[in-house]
Amino acid sequence: MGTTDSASQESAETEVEAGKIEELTSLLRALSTVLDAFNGLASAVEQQAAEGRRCILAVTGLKHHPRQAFFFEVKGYKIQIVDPFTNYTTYIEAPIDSVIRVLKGIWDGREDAFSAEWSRGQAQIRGTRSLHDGMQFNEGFKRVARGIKQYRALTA
Amino acid sequence: MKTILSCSIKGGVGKTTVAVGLAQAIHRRGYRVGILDLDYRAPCVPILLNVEEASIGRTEHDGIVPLPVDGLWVFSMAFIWPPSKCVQVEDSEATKDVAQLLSPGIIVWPDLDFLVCDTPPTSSGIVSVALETSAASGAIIISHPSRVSRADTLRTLDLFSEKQVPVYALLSNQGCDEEGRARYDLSDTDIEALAVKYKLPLFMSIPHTRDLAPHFDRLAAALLQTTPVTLDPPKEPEGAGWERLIQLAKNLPRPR
Repeated sequence: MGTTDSASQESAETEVEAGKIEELTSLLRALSTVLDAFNGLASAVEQQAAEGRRCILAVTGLKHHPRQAFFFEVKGYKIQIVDPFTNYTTYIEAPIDSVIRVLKGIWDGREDAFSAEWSRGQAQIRGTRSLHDGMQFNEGFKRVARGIKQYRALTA
Repeated sequence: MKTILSCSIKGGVGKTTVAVGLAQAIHRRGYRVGILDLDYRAPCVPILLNVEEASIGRTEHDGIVPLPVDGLWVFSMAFIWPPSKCVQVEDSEATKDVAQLLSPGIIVWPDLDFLVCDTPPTSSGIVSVALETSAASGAIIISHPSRVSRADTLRTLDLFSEKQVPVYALLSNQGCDEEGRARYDLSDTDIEALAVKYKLPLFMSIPHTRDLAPHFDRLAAALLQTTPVTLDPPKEPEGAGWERLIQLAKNLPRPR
């Protein structure tokens, strides 16, 4: 393959990746807006359950985007992008397509959005307590999806 | 706490039925019993306990909380995986998770007398790690009286011999119906012969019947009186042919 071909392929890949990143960030923005409102409605027990839960999902496999991984956290009813940090309870790596499927699933109110990707072997959970941490992460996502489903039912 | 494994590398012989039935029978005798479903990819314990309807896994800060079901405490990966999804987690990841399920402090079990573990039908990493991590008091090996199942039972016994995990019993499961008619191409006696050969302390046959509780009560009563044994690798018969060959070689005229 010539230099020009290689460059144009790289440019196409960069464009595809940029599209996915844009999709991911707009999904997160949309979810964050809704979930900020939900958080105010969370019961004391739900707020307490979120205490100390700093789960990070690193988006992997980006070849061209300058930032190789995104980090974001699920905390109670909140999902938000955060800067890379080391003080976390859960660390999960997953490809961007998988993360988009999870976020779209949550947006659709599907409580199994994360566990479905986990069972497909897409999410790799790291650490000596990874099973426990994965379950906690799953619970956070389920709570968010349930909240959205209830909100949709109320506003339909 | 004593850990009992329900095992066979053959699928469909009734490991889960035995694990659940035995756990319930031990519980009926007044003991505190947990069931851990180690069938990572195809967990079925919740189906037999009628708790499969929801994703009911629950964690606390300290660990995973087992589900109380009719006096038993239960954990299964079915509490996490969406129903009817094919679990495609790679072996290395699955093995790592199973090791965690068996590690202290991951599942917050109450004070138990017995933990009965249902294992998947494989000899791969998941079962190896279960045998190595569980510190099992002993295992029950389950077979059908069929030539196919007998072959896998021999392989299972070999695995236990190699891993030096003690064995309580060999069961010949569902070999005949309630009227005593054979359901497979071998008889319970053929499976019992394996128990004799491997010097297992307990052999039992369980018929194909809907009312299994009395049979599991009988198994639990016998098991509680049984000390499991570590298997000696069966000795291969001395090679008479080799000896004769060596003798012949000695007698051959030497080349000049």
